[in-house]
This record gives sequence, C-alpha cells and structure tokens, in this order.
Amino acid sequence: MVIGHKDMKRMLGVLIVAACASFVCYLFLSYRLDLLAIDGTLTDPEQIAYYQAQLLMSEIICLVTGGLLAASAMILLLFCIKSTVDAHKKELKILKALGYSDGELSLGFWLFGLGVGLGCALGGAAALVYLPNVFYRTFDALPLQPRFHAGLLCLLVLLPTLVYAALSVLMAYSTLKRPRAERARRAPKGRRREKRSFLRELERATVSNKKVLAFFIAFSCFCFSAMTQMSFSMEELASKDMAIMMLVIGLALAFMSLFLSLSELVKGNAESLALLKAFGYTGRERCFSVFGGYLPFSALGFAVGTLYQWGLLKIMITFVFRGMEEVPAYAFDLKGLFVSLAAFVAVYGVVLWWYLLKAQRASLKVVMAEI
Amino acid sequence: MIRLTGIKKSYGRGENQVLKGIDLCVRAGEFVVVTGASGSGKSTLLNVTSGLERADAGSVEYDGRDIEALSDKERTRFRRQNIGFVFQQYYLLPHVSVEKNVQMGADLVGNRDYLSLIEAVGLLEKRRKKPTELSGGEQQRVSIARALAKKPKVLFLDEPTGALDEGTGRQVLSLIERLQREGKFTVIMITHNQNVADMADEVIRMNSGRIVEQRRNSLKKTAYEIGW
Repeated sequence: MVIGHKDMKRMLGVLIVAACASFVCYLFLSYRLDLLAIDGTLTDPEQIAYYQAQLLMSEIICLVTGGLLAASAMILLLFCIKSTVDAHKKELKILKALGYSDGELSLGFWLFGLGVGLGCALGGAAALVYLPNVFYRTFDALPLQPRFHAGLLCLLVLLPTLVYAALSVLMAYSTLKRPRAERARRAPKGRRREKRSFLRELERATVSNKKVLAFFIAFSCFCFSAMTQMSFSMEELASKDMAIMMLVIGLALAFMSLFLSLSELVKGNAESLALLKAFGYTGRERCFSVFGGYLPFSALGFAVGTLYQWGLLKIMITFVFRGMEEVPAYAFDLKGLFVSLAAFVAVYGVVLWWYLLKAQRASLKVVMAEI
Repeated sequence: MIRLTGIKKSYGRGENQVLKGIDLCVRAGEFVVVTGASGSGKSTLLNVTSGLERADAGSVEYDGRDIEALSDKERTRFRRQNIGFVFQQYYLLPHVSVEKNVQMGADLVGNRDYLSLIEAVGLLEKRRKKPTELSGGEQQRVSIARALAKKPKVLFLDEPTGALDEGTGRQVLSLIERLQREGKFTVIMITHNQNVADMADEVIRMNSGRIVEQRRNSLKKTAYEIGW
C-alpha cells in the first residue's frame, strides 16, 4: 500500500487528541465507577449531596469534553486521510490504472485507526498514573478507594481503534471515489465576487478550498481560550493540580491544531505563494492572501472558548453543586480573560510570524521542481 | 535595453556551473528566442535575467540599473513593475476563476481593463470557469493574458508551447506575436523548437552554459509560416 511512515506523521495530531479524550474519559469514568462502588454507604446528608454532585459532574465532563474531543479526532482523521490521498495522488492513479479498485485501496487506510488506538492507550496510561496520585488528592471529601478498571481501559482503547479504523476505510473510500479535480471544480457563484480584488478573492478561495483548516484554527483558539481561562478559575474552585491539568491539555490541543493547520496552509499554498512572489506581490500581500481569511475564525474560536468555559463552570456551580454548603462563588473572570487574550495575541503572533517567514522563503524554482 | 555582463551561476556547492560567463544585450521591443538542448542553461538564464534568481557573478542591467545590486524587496518591486512570466506548465491558481487569474496580474498595476485581454485571448465566454475546466491551450492563453495584464516591459516565456500540440501551439505563438506587435514590449522566449526561432528578431543558441550562436533574422516568419 502507499501509506508510509511519513503519512503516519500526520497522525500525530489525531494521536494527541485521542490521548486527551481517553485521558479525560478514563479519569472521569473511573472516578464515576469508584463513586458508584460507595453508593449506599454514605449517611451524612452533606456527603450524599456532594456524592451526587460529583456523579453528575463526572457524567457532564465525560460527555461534553470527551464528546468534543472524540468529534475533533474524527474531523482530524478525515483531514489526515484527505491529505494522504492528495499527497499520493500519483501512486494512487498508477495503482488504479493497474486495476486496483477504490475499495481495495481504501482498505489500507485502516492503519490510521492504529494511531487512534495508540493515542487512547497513552491517554489511558497517563490517567492511571494521574488518578491516584493527583486526582484523588483533590477530590478527597469522600472515602473513595481508587481501583484499576481494566475493562474500562480496554473499552476506551479497543472500541475507538475499531470504530476509527472502520471510519478511516470509509472516509478513504469516499475521498478516493471523488477525484481532486472534481472537488476543485465548483464554479464561482454570485456577482459580488467579480468585483472583489484578486487578493480578496484568493483569500476567500484559500479558505473555501481548505474549510477544515478553518475549523482547526478556530479549534486551536477555542482550546487556548477555554482551557487557559478555565485553569485560572480552577485554581480557585478546585486545586492547582486541576488547573495545571487543564492548562496542559488545552495547550497541547491548541498548539497541535495550530501547527498542523499552519504547516498544511504553507505547504498547500506553496505554489500560489511562489507564483505571487514571481509576479511581484509583496511579502505582506502574499501572506495575507493565505492567512488573512482565517483571522475571523481565530477570533471566533477565542470568543466561543471564552463562552464555553464560562458556561461550563456556571452549569457546574449552579446546577451540579446546588443545595450544597460551602459552594465556591463563581463570577466571570474578567482579569483571566485579559491575561488569556494578551497571551493569545503574543503567542499566536510569534507562531504566525515564524510561519510567515517560512512562507516568504518559497522560491518558484524550488516549488515548481517539487510539483 | 537589457544588458547581461559576465553572468555565472552554479547550483549545489558550486560544482554544477550552469551559466559560465554570459554576455548578452537585448534591445527594447525585440522578440528574442533562446534555444538549446536540455541542461544548456536556458531556464537558468531566464530566471537570472528576470530577477527570479540571483547570479553568482556578473550584472543584469535594465536601462543601466543593475538588478543584482537590489535587495529582495526591491527585486520584488522591480518584477512587479517590469516583468511578466509565462511558463510551460501554466501555473494558474486552480481555485480561482479565469477572470481572477488574469486579475492577479492586473491588480498589481491597477489595470481595470483586463477583460479586454481575456477577450483578446478568446476566453471571454469562459472567464468564470476554473482552470481545471479548460484545455491546455486555453490555460496557456489565460497565462499569457495574466502576464500581459500587468503591462510588463519585458515578457519572459519558458517553453510556452512545450505542452501543446501543433495547432494549439501555433495559435498561442500567433497570439504572442500579435500582442507583442500591439504592445511593443520585449519578449524573451525559451524554446526547444528550432523552427520558432524563425519568428524572432534575434536568436540565441546555448550549449553547456555558454552562448554558442547569436544571430539576427533578416526575414521574420509568422506562427503559421514556420515549420513545426
């Protein structure tokens, strides 16, 4: 098959997201199982209320965060498969010419499911270490006995591996069925576009051609915004360890998505960038034509991330912990927002600047020789 | 006038010398054809003359101004104001329409009349189509319109008919010939096809990084008169 170790590099992003999803899900599902083990043993009304709140919290976090990460892994997987098909279009054409069917070729893509499985195994292993050493030290109000849930771990590794392997084959089949030229062949609609300047139109076409990158850039900003702000609040609401956990997960997801998107953007537009350079477009014009269209998505991602963390914490405090005494007060952390925003502008600014330099280096001779 | 003096260019660590001291003078408004075998240095000569690449030694002067002495930013500005390119493989932007591909050149110099160029290359009807929906000859015509939309003083063409059949190739050459006559810009064209040399004012033949022959045509032929 055409898939080699270079293609598996693309899977790094999926692996990280799968690891985070597995980490969060194992952590809170295991916590839930340990909670259920003490069901009926509690007599203190305050402890019972806390127990029920914890049970609900574990379900909500598992569903919302785990679900969000699982969906992200699926989109990331689709993106990886499309990139792999595009990168191997010549070999795939030869294999098709030799008589291989789309079905036979797509079967080789089951390997991508292994990346998900490996990520889930790593996330589960990290959760196993984290659970007794950090997590139970934070949530110590109940007499819990941390146990190893082998069945749960198997389920969290095997099930995603099988599901995502099957999904990979299906996605590859659907991508192979529709050739690239056909995907690109969508006539521009509407009259407004005719009046747009070339650079504005190129900006729009770049986003439209790689819509999935808009999602990843927004997702990256969402993760950065939500997790940094949530970690500030977590330090007050839960513990420093929880805050660090949030921050590490958030930054890993944010930077993974950002690097993946920007690398793909620069690589995918190398030809256009080199051609614009040859024609005499300035560095600023060239870079805006490629990155400019994604700026609104990054702002949107940051804004949604802010709302998400505020909403999630508000739901936790208002509904999950209602009726309990000593519930910590929670109000929107304006200072946290500004700190997060400043860090976002500074960090993303530096990363973008580095990629701009990389993009500007593209020479027509080198780029065209690679095509 | 373009004047090249002592141009040398190597790739790798200097072991592969592609241009070995080129001296050349091209008069404004002329049609110059550069021929030679593969690996003779034609494309490198075009890249260096147009300012896409820097020479290792020598100077490239446009009306007395040495572009080798310019910074990268200044070279970009120079290309913006003076140079047009047509490549063998067209290199059109695949995700924007024919019209926007031509507008790419036009916007650089604020040319609002680029539709007339699309009309001149016979593609007005297809201006909203994507390049992937066009034939090779049509794509090359778009690429010519794109290059001319920026009103260049010098048009560089690298094997513009290399990927085309005879009929389409003649059409494209005829178009270039007509537009050059009307626009009076300088044309420097690289080609493998020795017959195309009959269309030029001046013919340069290269071999192993050197100019081995330079002659003027007393009688120019049209694209439909030359052999193929």
